[in-house]
Amino acid sequence: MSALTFAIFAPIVGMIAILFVKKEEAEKAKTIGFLTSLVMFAACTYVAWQCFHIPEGQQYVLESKALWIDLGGSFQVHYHIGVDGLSGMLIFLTGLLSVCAALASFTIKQSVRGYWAMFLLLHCGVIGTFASLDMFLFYVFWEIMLLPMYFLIGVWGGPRRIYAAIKFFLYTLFGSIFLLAGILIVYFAVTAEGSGFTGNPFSIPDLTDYALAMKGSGGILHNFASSLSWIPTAVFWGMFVAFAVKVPVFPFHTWLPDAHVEAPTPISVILAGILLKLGGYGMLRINFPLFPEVLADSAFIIGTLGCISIVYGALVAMAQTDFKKMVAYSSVSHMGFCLLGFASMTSEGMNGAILQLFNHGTISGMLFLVVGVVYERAHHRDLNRFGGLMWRMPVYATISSIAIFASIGLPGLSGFWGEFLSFAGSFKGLYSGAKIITVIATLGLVFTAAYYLRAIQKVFLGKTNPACEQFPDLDKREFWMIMPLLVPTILFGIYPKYLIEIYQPFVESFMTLVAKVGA
Amino acid sequence: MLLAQSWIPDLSAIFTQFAAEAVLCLAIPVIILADVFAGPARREKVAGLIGMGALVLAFVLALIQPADGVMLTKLLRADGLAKAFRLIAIATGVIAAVGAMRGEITKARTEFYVCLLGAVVGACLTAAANDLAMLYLAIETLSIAGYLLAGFRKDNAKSAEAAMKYVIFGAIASAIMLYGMTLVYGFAGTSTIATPEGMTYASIASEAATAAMSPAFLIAVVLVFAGLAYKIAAAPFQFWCPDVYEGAPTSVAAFLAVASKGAGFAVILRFFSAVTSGGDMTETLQAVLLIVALVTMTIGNLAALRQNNAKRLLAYSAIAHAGYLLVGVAVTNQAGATAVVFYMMVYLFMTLGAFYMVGIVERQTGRTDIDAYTGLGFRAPMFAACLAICLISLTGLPPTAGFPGKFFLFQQVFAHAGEQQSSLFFWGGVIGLLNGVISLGYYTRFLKVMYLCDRDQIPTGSFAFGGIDRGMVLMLTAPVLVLGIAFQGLRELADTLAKGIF
Repeated sequence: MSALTFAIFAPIVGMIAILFVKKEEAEKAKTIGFLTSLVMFAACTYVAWQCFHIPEGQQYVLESKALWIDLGGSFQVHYHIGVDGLSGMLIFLTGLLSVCAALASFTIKQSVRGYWAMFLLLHCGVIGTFASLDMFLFYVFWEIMLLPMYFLIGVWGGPRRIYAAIKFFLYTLFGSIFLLAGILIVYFAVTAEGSGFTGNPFSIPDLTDYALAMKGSGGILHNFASSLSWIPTAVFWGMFVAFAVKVPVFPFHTWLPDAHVEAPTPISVILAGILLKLGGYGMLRINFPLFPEVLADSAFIIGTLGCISIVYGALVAMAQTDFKKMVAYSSVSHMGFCLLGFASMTSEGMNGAILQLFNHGTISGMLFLVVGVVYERAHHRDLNRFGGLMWRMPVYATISSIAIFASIGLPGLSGFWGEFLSFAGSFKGLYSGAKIITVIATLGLVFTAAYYLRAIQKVFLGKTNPACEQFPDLDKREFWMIMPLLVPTILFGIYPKYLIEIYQPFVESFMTLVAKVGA
Repeated sequence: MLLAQSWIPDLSAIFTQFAAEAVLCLAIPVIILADVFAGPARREKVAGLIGMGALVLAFVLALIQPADGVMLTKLLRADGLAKAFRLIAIATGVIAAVGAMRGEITKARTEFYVCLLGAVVGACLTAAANDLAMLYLAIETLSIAGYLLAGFRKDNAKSAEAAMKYVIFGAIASAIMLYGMTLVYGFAGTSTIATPEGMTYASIASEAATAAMSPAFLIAVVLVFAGLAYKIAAAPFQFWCPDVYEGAPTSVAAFLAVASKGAGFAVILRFFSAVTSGGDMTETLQAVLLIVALVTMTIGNLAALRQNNAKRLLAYSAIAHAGYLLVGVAVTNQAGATAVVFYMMVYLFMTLGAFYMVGIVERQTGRTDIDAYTGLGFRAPMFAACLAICLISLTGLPPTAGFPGKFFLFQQVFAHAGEQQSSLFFWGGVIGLLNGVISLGYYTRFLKVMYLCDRDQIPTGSFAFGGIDRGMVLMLTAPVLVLGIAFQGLRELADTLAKGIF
């Protein structure tokens, strides 16, 4: 069993162990859950480490492939997993955040066993999705995430949790329907007579190679008649919707604020830190590589959507009085940078977008933890009812400020690189209108600074609100749940080279995929 | 001797290919006689034992019976499709009998078993019928037994209403279908009217292949389809379904939703295989089927959103699933038939599981509204988890068996769209898949009340879920989960059973 398989199924083992915990000893579930997350973190780190040593001429490491369903002919579904730098990096992020989220979950007091079982099942789905190299497998893991998330928000969430949970579920399922339709259409097209495809119709690497080979001659869906020439575009946009819902991209973002506000803190962390990344990852792994030509034609729309997400998200965040909702909308805004970078189809833009995936994961995870800490003390999140926490909780205020400044994109902290490179790439984007879109999008930075600075001022500065007099500073657990995220924020802010190095092979191969199209 | 042989039909297939039906038919008079001779105290128990024994024996026989396409005097054909739907019908009969024994039927249980066996025989013969006359007899056997079963909660006005509605709708549908059959016979039988082949599927097929696009033949086909659409509760003949399911005993509703619907699909597969075997009507019929399928599932799913009664909700869900299954018929090819058979087998487990659990709640609380499930996730975790698995499977999400089921059905739709370059089928596929999202809206209402309720709303008091009920539920739910991951064997089975339909 490879380390990757271990990382995917370790949570399942933990979950099964929890199911055997007796009701009276529910606290044991907590221990098992936390230990499992540590094991996951170790496995994920090992996986990511392996990605630094991808042998020459090989795209994936830790690859394993076993026949799962064989119906004769071309219908062969494999348990096919493997990682490259991109997925390795995101799997590392998953392991890291799972430990932080597990520490933050110690405050969950009701139905403890159920909570940890769902928590671990969710991670199985996430790591599995990142590792899948088979479309069918990818889809199965992608959907496996939905149910635990529904329960985690719906059972352990805030007052409007039921509404938020079903909204999340419906939106995401709505999106994935188009992914499923896309998989089925691609399957038919490449297995139909005269397609010239010889690989496995579910294999993502095979299809990517095929897309590269068919570039300039109609793409992987070239064998549709002229009356159906809209099919490749439709499939591209269908898959885009599936992933855009997860990112989330305007106008598919409305589930996010509800889900975030109602979800318990650790689940918000996972939602913002990992689940949103799955959207961007899906685009990079499936959506764009399979349809590089459509991507080139659609760059303007994708860039525009990114720009709208950035500006609109920032403006709405500015209007919030709820701390958590503000952070949630800032996620919409910051994930827009990824789209801007993707649309540019330049090396800088891709680098920026991928950096943003990782760094937004750590930074937004931190921000949600920070909000959770103050919520536990005040039992509300109204920005207007805090004040002067700097004097009562100095450690907390320092860490929070670092997180906020990282999110604003202050140079020296990790958020800067993603934003900077996304904008730099986007400005020299290959589509017409790239410059104008980039200029408009930079407005988002101003708004971002505005709402974050206002938040700092209202929460940490000024006179101490009498209601906040008695707030204790971070305790040990809270300190250590934020620390694993703070370290990479500062480390990769000063020295992002390790991060860039790990996924560089992916960017290079991606650039060859799109480059010829643009030329 | 030779002359005699040619005139006496060869009935030996009864003992080989049709032993299951023979056992069930024999059991009916045995139950009635036993009822007379057993004392009043034991009669229902004896009847139950005989009925159950006959069903189990029939199931075993059905499993080992060869599916080699041998015919019984050209009226019945023992092929794979017959075997598949016979197994489904008998298995459903077993579950319904268990439901009745567990206390769902309180009065006249003996008669219940007799009717149930009759309905099962009818369903088996419907699936095996090779000739329109035989088909009509078999469907009527199934229907009449079904009317009686629907009205079996004798002290309940809704049950009586259900039976009445079922009879009236059923009679009209039968009449329409019979009229269609006579027309089909008229077309198919013109050349060979005096021979028995006049009404078999084979002769319909040869007529359809040669006939030019004749509006009259199309009307005939549509009329027959109307009668069958009633059986499977497809739009616009679905109105009876929720009322009947609500009023009928839950195990009968389950029987109607699975066995009766399954028999209907066996016929639809055979019939459309025959009428689309050539000629220029094929494309029109495919479009008609697809549109009926889409309308059916959309109506079912949208109407289910507003239901508060678990049985009515499952009735609309059953309508929606008739739509999904019809999608597999609409492509009129072998792979589509395989997908239908596969989905039907998956549907058997998840639907029977859901109905059985609704029955458990009904027996314990006397309620069928969704609020009766409040807090079950905490009061009876095992029960709630099993129900959740069945509902997730009905929605079609991995890792449950509903997902490969839907995957195969819609795979055929998109393949057909690509082969025929038909944008109708492309959009049909997308609309069909989107229906899954709508259905999530009502299936999750169970999850909502079971798990997401406020803690102070959870009723106290215990919820009994043990013994036979637990065993039955686990038996129905475990395959839903296992087949969601390891479905290759089932798919290969479906491949074998559906072989040679198109």
